[in-house]
Amino acid sequence: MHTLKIENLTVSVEDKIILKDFNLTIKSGETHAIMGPNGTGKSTLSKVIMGDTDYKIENGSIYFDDQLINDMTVDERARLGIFLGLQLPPSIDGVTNADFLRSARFSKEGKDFKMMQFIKELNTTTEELKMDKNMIHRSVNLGFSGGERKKNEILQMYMLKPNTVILDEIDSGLDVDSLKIVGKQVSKYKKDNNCSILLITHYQRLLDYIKPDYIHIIKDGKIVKTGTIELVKEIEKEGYEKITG
Amino acid sequence: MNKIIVNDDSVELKTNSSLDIDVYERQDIFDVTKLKIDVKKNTDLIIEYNNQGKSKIDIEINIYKDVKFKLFEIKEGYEVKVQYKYNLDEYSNVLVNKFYDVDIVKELDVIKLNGESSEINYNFNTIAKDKQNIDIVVYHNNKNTISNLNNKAVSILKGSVTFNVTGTVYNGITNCIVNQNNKIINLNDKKSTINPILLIDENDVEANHSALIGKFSDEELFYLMSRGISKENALNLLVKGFLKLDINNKKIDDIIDKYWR
Repeated sequence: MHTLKIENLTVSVEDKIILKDFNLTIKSGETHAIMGPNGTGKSTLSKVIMGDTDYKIENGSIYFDDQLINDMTVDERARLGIFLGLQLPPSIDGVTNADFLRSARFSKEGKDFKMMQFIKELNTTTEELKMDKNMIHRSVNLGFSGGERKKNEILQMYMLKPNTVILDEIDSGLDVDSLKIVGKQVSKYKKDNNCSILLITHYQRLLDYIKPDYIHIIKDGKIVKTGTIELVKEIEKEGYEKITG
Repeated sequence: MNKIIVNDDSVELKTNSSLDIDVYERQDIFDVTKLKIDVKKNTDLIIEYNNQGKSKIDIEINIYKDVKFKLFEIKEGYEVKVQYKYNLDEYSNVLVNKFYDVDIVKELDVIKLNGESSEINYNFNTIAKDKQNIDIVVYHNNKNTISNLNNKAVSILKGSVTFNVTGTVYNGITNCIVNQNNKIINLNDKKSTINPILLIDENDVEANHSALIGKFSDEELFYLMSRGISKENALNLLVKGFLKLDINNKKIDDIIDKYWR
């Protein structure tokens, strides 16, 4: 059982306040979806949880299982089990997916790392995600379509087995079929691992596959409304402006 | 596989009949080791430098008509002063892969594509810990010739790198391809320089050059670290990726691991 707790968090980027007195608690087994118009701080939230130093914590705390993680480095947070699937994953020329994943898995498991098991899992997961097996030997995300990049994020999630998964607009750039595959794989991962999930999305379509327990509407760096899936239907019908005032 | 091992006070040859090699050791007042290598058949050659001190080497390599030749060099040590001359006959094809882990380098490579349809693919990689000057000049002396140069450096500690890379095509030498790609990653605050020069006096030529000096992006580092990889190991992956040659060589991996792990 793990808990990610954000208390009164105020965050700035280049001296501009993006999140203001933000509060949220996510426990194992729960799925939360953060929705809201562009520029309200959704991606900032994901980056600051992961420890991106471009985002400055002005005030407040982030706890993982009662441990304050404000000053932890990005890799330390990842090794706690926090995973961020990026909206725009970068490409890295010369570093193959295989080397990247092997290094990441080795960083987590150390001397318990087993190569054969790693390869077996890699093959199974690429198959389940309907990914081209050759991409494993290609440079990370280089020449990948938007959909392939997002699937690659989900592949990494499976291979690293995080307990707390943050997915920042994982649905953008996915066609209908790929969205279905990604959505189902994320749901399966949650069911098998009882992890917590924080989804950042604009659209209902992802939530057809990944059922959230809570929907939070964010505006001006704060959660202004929390509800269930019914709230999403309301947003689709009325728009953010009317609901958030 | 042919091999030449350059030691502090000698040159060892482990070669077969595909190469004719003349070695003129330390014959002049400048204490230069000279080698002349004639490549007459398709073959590979490794040159290893096991000298830990200073070395001065002058190598002339003549590649005969229709011959395919691959050269791989790995240099470790403190200081290297080296000069190469490559002379390519018609339809010869040369692949050069070089990897240096040396403090000070002063190098001149003169590549002469003398024969029609001769081609060189030249990949130079270095970890620079002190001042390094690398001058490469390619002369396209005949038509349909191709040169592809890829020069990469990672500068650390006191390292600063200068790449002077020149492609020359005279008037009347048609249908040549002249490519050069130069990149330096600065992991220190020293100044590095790239001078990409194309001297072309012919319209019927395809020529490209690129030059980049910078650091690994914060975005790449964040991405790797967000998967649990420490900063040191993330840099190790990025350096290996950047300096990757199209060959598997454990010694190169070991050298990179020495600095970034």
